[in-house]
Amino acid sequence: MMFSAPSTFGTTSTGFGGFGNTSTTPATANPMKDFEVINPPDDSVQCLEFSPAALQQDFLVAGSWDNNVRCWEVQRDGKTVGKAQQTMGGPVLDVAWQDDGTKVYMASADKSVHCWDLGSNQKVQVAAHDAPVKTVHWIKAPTYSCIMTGSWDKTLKFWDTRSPNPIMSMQLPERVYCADVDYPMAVVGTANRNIIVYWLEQQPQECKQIESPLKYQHRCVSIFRDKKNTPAGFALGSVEGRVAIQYINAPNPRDNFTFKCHRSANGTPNGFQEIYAVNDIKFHPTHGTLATVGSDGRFSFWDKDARTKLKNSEAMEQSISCCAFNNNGQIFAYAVSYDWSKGHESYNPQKKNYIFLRPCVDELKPRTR
Amino acid sequence: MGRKKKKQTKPWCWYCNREFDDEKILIQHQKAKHFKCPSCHKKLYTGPGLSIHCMQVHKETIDKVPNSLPNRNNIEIEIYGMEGIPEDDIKEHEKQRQGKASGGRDDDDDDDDDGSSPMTSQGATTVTAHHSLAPQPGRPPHMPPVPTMQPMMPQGQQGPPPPWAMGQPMMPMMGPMGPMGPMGPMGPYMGGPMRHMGGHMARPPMGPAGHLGPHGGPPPPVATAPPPPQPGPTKPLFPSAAQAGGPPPKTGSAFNPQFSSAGSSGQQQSSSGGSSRNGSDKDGSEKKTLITAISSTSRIVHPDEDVSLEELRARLPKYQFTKPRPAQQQQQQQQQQRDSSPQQQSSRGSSPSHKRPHPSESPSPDDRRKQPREQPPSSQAAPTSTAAAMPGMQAGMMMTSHPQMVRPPGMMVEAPMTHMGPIVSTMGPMVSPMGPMVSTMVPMMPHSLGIPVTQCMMRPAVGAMMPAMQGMQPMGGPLQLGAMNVANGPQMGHPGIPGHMMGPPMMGAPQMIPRFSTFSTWSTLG
Repeated sequence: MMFSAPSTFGTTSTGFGGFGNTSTTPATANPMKDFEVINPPDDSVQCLEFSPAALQQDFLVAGSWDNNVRCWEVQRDGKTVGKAQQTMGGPVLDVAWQDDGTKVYMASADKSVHCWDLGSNQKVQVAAHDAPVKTVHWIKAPTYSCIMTGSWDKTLKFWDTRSPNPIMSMQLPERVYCADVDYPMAVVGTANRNIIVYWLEQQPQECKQIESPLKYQHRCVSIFRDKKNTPAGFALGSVEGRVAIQYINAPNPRDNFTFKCHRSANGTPNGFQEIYAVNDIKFHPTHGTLATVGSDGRFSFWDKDARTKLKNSEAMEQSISCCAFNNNGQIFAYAVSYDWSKGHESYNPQKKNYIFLRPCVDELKPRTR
Repeated sequence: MGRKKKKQTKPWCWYCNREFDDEKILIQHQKAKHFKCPSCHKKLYTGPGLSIHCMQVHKETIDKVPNSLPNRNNIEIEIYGMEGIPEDDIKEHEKQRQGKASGGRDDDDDDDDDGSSPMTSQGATTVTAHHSLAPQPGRPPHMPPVPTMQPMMPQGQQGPPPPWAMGQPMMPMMGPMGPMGPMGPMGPYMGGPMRHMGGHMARPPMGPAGHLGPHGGPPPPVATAPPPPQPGPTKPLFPSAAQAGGPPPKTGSAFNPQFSSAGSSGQQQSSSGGSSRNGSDKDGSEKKTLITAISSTSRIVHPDEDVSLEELRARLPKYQFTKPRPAQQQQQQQQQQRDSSPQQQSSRGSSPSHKRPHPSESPSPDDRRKQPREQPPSSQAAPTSTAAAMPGMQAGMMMTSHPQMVRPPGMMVEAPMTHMGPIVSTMGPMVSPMGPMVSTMVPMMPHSLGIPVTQCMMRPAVGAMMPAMQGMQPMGGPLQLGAMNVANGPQMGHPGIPGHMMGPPMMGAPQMIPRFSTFSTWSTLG
């Protein structure tokens, strides 16, 4: 809507008449000339989530390595307004909105998950693990609702947020690296390349373990829906610049495939091709196309059905660590910050982190065949 | 099962380990990738041919075959298609093929971006495997009945004899094992059959088996040693077990530690028994898996260790938080002591009055939650307990007390803070006191929102939310908690308090029920 027709492009697209230090943003930091979110986190952004459709406005929540979770209102013209912030006891590894938009769940390396009630700005612990909690998701079933937390303690737990004990705890073969939930399906990717699919109807239960279609460490997973708009499979990204499209029950085994992404051009005669991690995958809520972001500092849009790349971005100054679509698919948000892919040595805390917003509806239209 | 008459090994390129469907294509590949002159792009036919060409035509020496794996870059060896490959390497390749979890996926490097669905067949076989094999005891159901078996057969005998035919040393076993593809699960098998054999079978027979098995590596002792309870007759193997052999199978050597030492039961333990180990510690205890690129021409931009970037990062002292919950409380304590501001008194003073009217809520969720953890309950009885019991207070304290927070030397936060404690604690009963609060807050807004302070900008605003919200209350936002309560019905049969509403016990006073309209109010302030 209005968002897709930006009037003030790039320069001072942020709120408060330019006090959001956009003016200092060098062009190289924003090669795609997107809207910059004001007051970004002070350390790498680990997770981004837009508010659910239950809210008329768009709110963006980001969890970061500075232990904070921030919330902005994203206005139609691309302006952002800082709304509120919460602090966890350790780096924030994941965030999830409750479906009604009233609460945000925050998973932290401090081994806890807290619920942030946005209305009252209170936060309260709702889950605990024996190791940092890598993922949190809100599950809204007709018969129940709960949060699902996945941790490096090799468990997946389901919590009614009112009880100190999990409703259900499932042992996993390995540490949880990534997970996604789209009722009634949940997918968890772990270390050592395990994939476990859960079915959430009635109550969460393991559906099947799938042999990984990828040969390298799992890094991100995202569930997609089929034509009937029911969850049908998932896209799984690995550190080896590759994404697998995997159907749970593939009508035709050929429907499953992998594709390469986030790699340097195989150009230089003597040089190496650099293969980067796929840091995040998100499916467009209406088009069903997908976006990937990588350690190479680029985002790409793909049409998995046509098996084509729709767009490839310019390279940012740093990795793109995560991304998100807002609920109606107008806005694509991506966070530019160091993701540790080059180790501790390449970490420069002075480098500014950015979150950019891009009007994306058109760019993610499926390829017409 | 066992009838494993698989077609010949696919042709593969010695230089880069890539497999092809057809030797013709392989030859084309070699000419294009490995035998092309870097200077003039002329395609030669062999490595030595290329070398001579470069020497004679360009007066350059070329010491490595372009685009080849590091250990396969010998330009002296004359290889054309599948001809000329050293015998040992053929064997090794076959072993390695077994190792790959039946993927059928070629060695990467060149499947196109659109993904020619390389692992598709795998998906299919997996499914069928479930049906066909599941009933057979002792056969991990998810193991595809796969092809990769074949290469080792020729080396032994032709048709796989029935497993019980002990005539030949190891072969009988190997036959049926073939389908298992990946190495992990092999272990159990080795263990299993071996026990039967124990009597009449001595070590020596294992010899030949050594290089037949996908993981020719494990010497007899390993195989025999674990007579573990056969791990998975009915229970599905964790894929991890299968994959343990798998990660990046390219260079078998890199992974040898994994199977050679872990053997059969080891894998099992690592998946199931390992639960007790802490996620992050665990890597130390286990042999480290490394991430290595498959081809010599590419490099995976990732730390060597096969551990997620977040885990690596979290190891940095900077990100270590000390003690989980107690830390928070300590912070609060310290904060309170340090401040010794009216805040403390006011909170203490008001909290009892807050608690008494709501006895049912008194164990704040936070407290309840702490109990199952190792934290001694006594710590909650510490002087801070009253404060800690109040969610509002706690949230507030957290904000000021967290060490990471950078804040201009300012009272900006102090101001709202002082109010927040009391506000929250008394929130339930009284709304009216809010009025003045709002007014005290408002003056802050210019500071908080107007100043281009970087991080701190948001924080005062947080404080400001409180009054804003209060202001909103009479208006009644569109979002009510009611719906949530329904949603959160007790259907799950959680052990928690069945009758409890979500809002109250968790979030403090019922009046605090979220109204998102607060945001809009707030933005008008800004």
